[in-house]
Amino acid sequence: MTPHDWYVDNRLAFATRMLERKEESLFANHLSRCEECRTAVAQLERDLTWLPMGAAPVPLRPGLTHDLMQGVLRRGRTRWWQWITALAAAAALVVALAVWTETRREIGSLRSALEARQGRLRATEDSLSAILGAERVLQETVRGPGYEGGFLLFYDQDTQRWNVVVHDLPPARAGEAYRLWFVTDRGLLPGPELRANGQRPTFLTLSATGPTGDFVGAVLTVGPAGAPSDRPHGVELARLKF
Amino acid sequence: MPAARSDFNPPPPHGIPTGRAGTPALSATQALSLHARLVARDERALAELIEVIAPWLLGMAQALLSDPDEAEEVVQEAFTIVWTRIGQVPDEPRGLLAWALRTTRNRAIDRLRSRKRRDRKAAHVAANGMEGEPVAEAAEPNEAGTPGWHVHQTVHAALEALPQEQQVVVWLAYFQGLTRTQIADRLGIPIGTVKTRLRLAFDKLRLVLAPLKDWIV
Repeated sequence: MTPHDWYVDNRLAFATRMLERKEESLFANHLSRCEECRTAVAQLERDLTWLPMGAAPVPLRPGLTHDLMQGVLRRGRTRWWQWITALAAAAALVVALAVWTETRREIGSLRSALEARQGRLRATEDSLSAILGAERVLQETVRGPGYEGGFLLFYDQDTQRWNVVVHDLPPARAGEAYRLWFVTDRGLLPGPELRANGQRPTFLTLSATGPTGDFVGAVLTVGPAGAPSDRPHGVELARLKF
Repeated sequence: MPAARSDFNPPPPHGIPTGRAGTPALSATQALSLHARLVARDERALAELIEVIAPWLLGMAQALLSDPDEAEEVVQEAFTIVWTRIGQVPDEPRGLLAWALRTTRNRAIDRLRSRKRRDRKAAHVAANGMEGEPVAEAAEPNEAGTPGWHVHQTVHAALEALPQEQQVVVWLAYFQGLTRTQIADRLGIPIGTVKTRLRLAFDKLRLVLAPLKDWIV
């Protein structure tokens, strides 16, 4: 007896659903692979099509036809509404996901902005603290088209250094830079270039005395970046003298 | 196999003519037309199908489940399947009705097995014994008006022609939903004997029923 013989012997039992549950499952799996058994089972089902009518008919109770109709049509409509409900749920999920993503992005953006502002606040507090404790403070307003900034020079007694602050100035145009010049008893000496971004104050700390003599003031200019620094050039924006 | 009758006699469904001797009948053409109208979502066609075939589906479901309410639920499920999957039903005269019968029987057996009613039912049968003859009682005059009654008579005659011991196993297996093992336990005979009786019985039934192409004239 081959393994296939078992299926041959049980075709009728499968077609009439007399197999145990596990056997039925086994046979169904076999059918998906065996054309011969599939054909034989289909033939058995055809031959026995009307056997269920061996059971006597039961007359329909009054109203059963209506009940069955309503039940069938209601379920049909329910299925339709189920589709709509499922689609609506899917759409709501997509919208919720989009809102969640956008909210997270916005929260991230706000957090970055808050951190930037906190940084500026801390820097301003530091500047204010230094300025309040400074022995000498010089400042001048710098005005231009669409902005009003400031150029600040003060002396810190504790560190015995001069501090330079430039604030609220827009970034220099392309190819230009802000530059600090030192006023000494021997004339103007070039200082470093300053980068302003309009957002944060720019700080510079200088020793009270330089190799070329005492400072008596400072000048802020804007002009070509990288230009020779042996003599003042560009436009003078502010001048402070002690 | 008692078949309770009520005084309620639904009027002949729309479109189904009255055949010989007042027997409602459905020709092959009309069966195909019914199928086509169901495909077209004609609710009147659904009502006609229910009127014609529901008594048979209900009879089979009640025989399997022994519970009228549950049988109605199964029939409801079967009609819902027919209505929603009509596109899968073979477009041939016997296709629709055969599909409905098979679907109902399968649903009833699924329900029977899933709820493990079989054991309770077997216990009930064991306690009360077989109720009457395994084969349905002879046709009564007032049932001749039921569409398909002549097919029932043919099937009934084929079952009745079987030896008594084969009638019993066919009844228990096909109309009570018992497995071969349960039949052997129930009758106290070897399972090999059950298989042999079933094989012999179904060979005879196939010979008689296979030529019965349509349950409708």
